[in-house]
Amino acid sequence: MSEAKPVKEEKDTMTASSSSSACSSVISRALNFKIAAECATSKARACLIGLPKSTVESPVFMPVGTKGTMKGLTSKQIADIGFQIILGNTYHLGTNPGPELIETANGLHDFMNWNRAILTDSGGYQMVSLVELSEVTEEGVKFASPYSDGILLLTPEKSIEIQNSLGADIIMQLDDVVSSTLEGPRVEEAMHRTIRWLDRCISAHKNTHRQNLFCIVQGGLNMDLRRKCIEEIVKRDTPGIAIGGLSGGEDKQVFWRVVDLCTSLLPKDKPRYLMGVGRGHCKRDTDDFSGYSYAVDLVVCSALGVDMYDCVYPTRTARFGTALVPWGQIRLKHSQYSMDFNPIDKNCSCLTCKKYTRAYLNSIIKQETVACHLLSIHNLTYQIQLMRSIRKSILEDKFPQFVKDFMKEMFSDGNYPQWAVDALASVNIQL
Amino acid sequence: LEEPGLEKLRKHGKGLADLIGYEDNSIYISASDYQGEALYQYNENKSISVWTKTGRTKVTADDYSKFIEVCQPSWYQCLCDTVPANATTKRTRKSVDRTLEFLDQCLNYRQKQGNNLQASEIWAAVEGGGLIDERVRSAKESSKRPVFGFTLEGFSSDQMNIETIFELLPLTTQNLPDEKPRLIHAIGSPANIIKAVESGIDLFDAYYPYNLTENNLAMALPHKAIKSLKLSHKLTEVEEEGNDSSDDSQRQDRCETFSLLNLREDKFKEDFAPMVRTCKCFSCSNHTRAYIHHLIVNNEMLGGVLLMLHNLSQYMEFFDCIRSALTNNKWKELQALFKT
Repeated sequence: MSEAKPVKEEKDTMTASSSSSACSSVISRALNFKIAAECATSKARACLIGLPKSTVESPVFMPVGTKGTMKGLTSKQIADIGFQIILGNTYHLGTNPGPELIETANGLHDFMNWNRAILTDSGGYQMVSLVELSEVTEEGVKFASPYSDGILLLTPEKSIEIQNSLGADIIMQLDDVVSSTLEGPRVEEAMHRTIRWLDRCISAHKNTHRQNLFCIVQGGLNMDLRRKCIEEIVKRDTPGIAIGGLSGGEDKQVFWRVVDLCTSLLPKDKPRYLMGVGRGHCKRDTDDFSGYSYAVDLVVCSALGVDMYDCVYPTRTARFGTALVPWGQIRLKHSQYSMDFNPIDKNCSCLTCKKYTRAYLNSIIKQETVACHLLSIHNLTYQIQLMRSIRKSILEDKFPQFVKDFMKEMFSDGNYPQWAVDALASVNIQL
Repeated sequence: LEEPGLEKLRKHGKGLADLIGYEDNSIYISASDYQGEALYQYNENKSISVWTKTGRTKVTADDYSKFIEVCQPSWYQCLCDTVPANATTKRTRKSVDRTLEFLDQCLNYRQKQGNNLQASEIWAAVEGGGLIDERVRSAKESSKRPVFGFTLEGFSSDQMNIETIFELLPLTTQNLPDEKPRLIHAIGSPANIIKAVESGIDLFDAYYPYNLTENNLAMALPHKAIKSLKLSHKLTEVEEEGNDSSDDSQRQDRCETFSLLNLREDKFKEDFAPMVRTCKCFSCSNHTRAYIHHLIVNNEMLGGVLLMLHNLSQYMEFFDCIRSALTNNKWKELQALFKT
């Protein structure tokens, strides 16, 4: 069970310690990775991730389409905004409608009529975060299903089986995820188990030619554990690598250092996916975001060398009437917007900003579901614009200036969060 | 009245259509909410009562006209006092009197205000509950006023039973001028709409598709209807056989009459056909019954969105059928296709 299975025969690598304009690519049967440009100052890169259903430009943000839909928006609307890849939740889809049905439908792509790339998670995180009673053993994760009576067991094999049926371009290993604020031996146990589960996932994976299995680095906030984990995990030679176990409310100063360590140690010629940034700050079903700036995480972590992100934040916050803008957030429920006949952001090109005013949105926000759709469209557009700007600036080797301008606009009073200042300074960007 | 409210509209200055993003379309404002219960007992001689989140608001004819002024709709109904068929005779008579009075007040306001309301046409409201004499009186009196058209009030299924509706309707409309349009609210199924058209009605609202969607139902127009009604001759045998195939889903829509699909039902779980094969709406062009079923049972908003798109599209198609049937002299065929 602990033997690493060789992943692919053909591997063409032009390594490695390349300077800014070098182009390196790895060909696997299901993923074609290419670095288009590297920032000369920081660790940021702009890449092309060639997947079976589409090529994805990074740094990339993946919106979360939990149950096969993006909260009231159609696949076409998501595609029109410009997303090339979305995320589906195995936990939900694995129970409703279930993998057999989706397999009958020719996979998740056909079932929801989304013809670009999809990434599915393993189902593990949601069980732990959504389900009251869950128990982790070496076998897998035991939990009480909220959809029916009885106890279910999610094993690495089962997770891969479901994900194979769903047919996503990228699938995630089942990992033993613990809260980042947890300390003690459980963290180390989880790290080792994650590696053992990775090997089980690799063995169980049937569709290596059209689905990419990503591994997940664990180890909590402990640098040594992270190092050990990476050392082992890299040997398994998966097409991509995720950094897990963060964004659970940990101290930001530690958070960025862990991300930085990981990106320094992980191979350059593979995509790095930072999972659920901002997730820990989205308290479910409240609109208490306490001025938290999720966009800052994306910019800073891109500077540290992360390529892929996901989060429910933009669409969840839309449901509470909050619009994301370059200078922070606008809570449209507030009476100050009642007579404000400007669009959310006059520089935004989305449908909502082209046609509707803050005053109108303020009117409908608590009563009409279309308000939620309009805000989701705006927030997702904001998100994609941000990523495009990051990418563009890297391609033009103007990323440090972009970061400075971005931070100035977000924190007009000059009160930058210290962790961001430190993180950026570590990669030679001085605010 | 509550949102966006008089103040906000006035400040915006460009009318309701512009504020809600409908600047390329016409707006019609009616004086009461047809989705809710009619709380007519709270109306008074000088005002009707409107219910908002903050409670009861009394609206006079002038209040109403002022509000219409800032909305700048294409059409608006005059303020009206509507009673159900089971109201007393005395109360019904009062509703006719009051509504005529409101109409005159609205017309008066129009005259005084110069250009502000000239771009918006006013419609009279024909009242009279379940009493034929009052209906006739209301129709005749309203006809004397300089209005653009007539709305027939109090004919929804929670105000009057179905037999009475189609007894009274033709008797009422025959006392309205031929050359002016007649509009009715909250008349539902295709069969009832056909009867209402026979009774002299020209315009309807979209209460029916809205209601269907709320109940996870999808309209399914019979494919033949569209084909045959659009031709001025009877379908030849060749044309009838045309699209036949032994495909299961096609067999489903060789259904002879109009039907409804309940997308919540289990039988759609693995049905990968579109809702209605011949429908060209967004939902049928892009998604399957199985997917929509999944969305509905998982309480996803997109389910309602896709259903509504479909139902509105089918509804419009249905009206196209009506017009075709009238043009091509195929009324009986239309009735047969939509009898429910």
